[in-house]
Amino acid sequence: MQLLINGEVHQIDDVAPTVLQLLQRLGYNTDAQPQHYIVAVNQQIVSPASYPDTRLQPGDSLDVLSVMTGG
Amino acid sequence: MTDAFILDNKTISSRLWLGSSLYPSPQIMAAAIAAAMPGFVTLSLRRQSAAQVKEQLQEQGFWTLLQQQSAATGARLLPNTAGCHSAREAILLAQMARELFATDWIKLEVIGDDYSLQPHPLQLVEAARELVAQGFNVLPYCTDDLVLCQTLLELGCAAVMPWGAPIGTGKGLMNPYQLKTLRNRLPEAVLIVDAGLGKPSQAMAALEMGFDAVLLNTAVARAHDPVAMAAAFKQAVDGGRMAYRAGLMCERDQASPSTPTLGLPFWHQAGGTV
Repeated sequence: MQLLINGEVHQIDDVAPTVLQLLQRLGYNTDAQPQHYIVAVNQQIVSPASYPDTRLQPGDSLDVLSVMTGG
Repeated sequence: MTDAFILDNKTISSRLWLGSSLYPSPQIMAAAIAAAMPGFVTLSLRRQSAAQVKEQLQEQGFWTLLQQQSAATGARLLPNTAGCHSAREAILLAQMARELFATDWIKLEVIGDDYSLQPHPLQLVEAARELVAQGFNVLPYCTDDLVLCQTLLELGCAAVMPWGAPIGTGKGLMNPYQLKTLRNRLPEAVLIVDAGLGKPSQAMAALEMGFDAVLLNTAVARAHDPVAMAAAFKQAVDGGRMAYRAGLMCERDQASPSTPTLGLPFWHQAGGTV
């Protein structure tokens, strides 16, 4: 299925993967506490506790944001 | 006499606030923060790959060094909503920043014009209203419009941060008349000049005018020696504040001698002869 990950189109083989599965596949460290990134699905924040239960559907967008320099 | 800078019932350690962007390296940024001893350091958040997140966390990575300097100097972290063009975008980014950085402080930035990076007043007010309701300590980057600043303060913003000049221009205080008007008409408000400062003398002028603090980035980060420039801004801000509290003399048109004339052996009397 097709997902929008950080603004780019990705083809994913899984059917309805969870946020946790997808983050791990993309290489994000999901064990660190506190986590050094924040996740949103369809522009709604997903808390780390909800990663295992939040399933992505075709066309969903996943954004992973982390610290950046700023003025 | 103490001169604590209190904002939202919290003591802010300095009236110089510094951005974390545009430095030649994270190490130079860290050294500049150490030299400036700022009250706040601004930062942001963006989409990042796993590799980018990992890089920020390395020993000499941006996030590692920024956290170290924040702890060492007492500088608070101030996430911004830079790049947002609507209230909806800014609110979401602020919410994400609060989760990521564990702080209620937010520099609210909603751009209305991409050429001048002028804030969008209507979207800014809408976002400020919502974020204040959600418990944020909102510090809006705004224009120097009096009614806009009044409105933002009435909504419950902890301070307002009018621009001195467009972001990154280094033009300084482009409209001192309007800035003085803000200070005079909003005597109880915390006012911070944000953006456009290019020289320490301009920061000093803002503090002399009675502004409570200044926020700048490019003037330090793009200097040939950012660390020395950070120290120069620190001294300018400290000097400007000290001068404001000391009470500046009133400007006048007519010259007035500072050395006493009484006792001068060559007494000049118009038309007089001995």
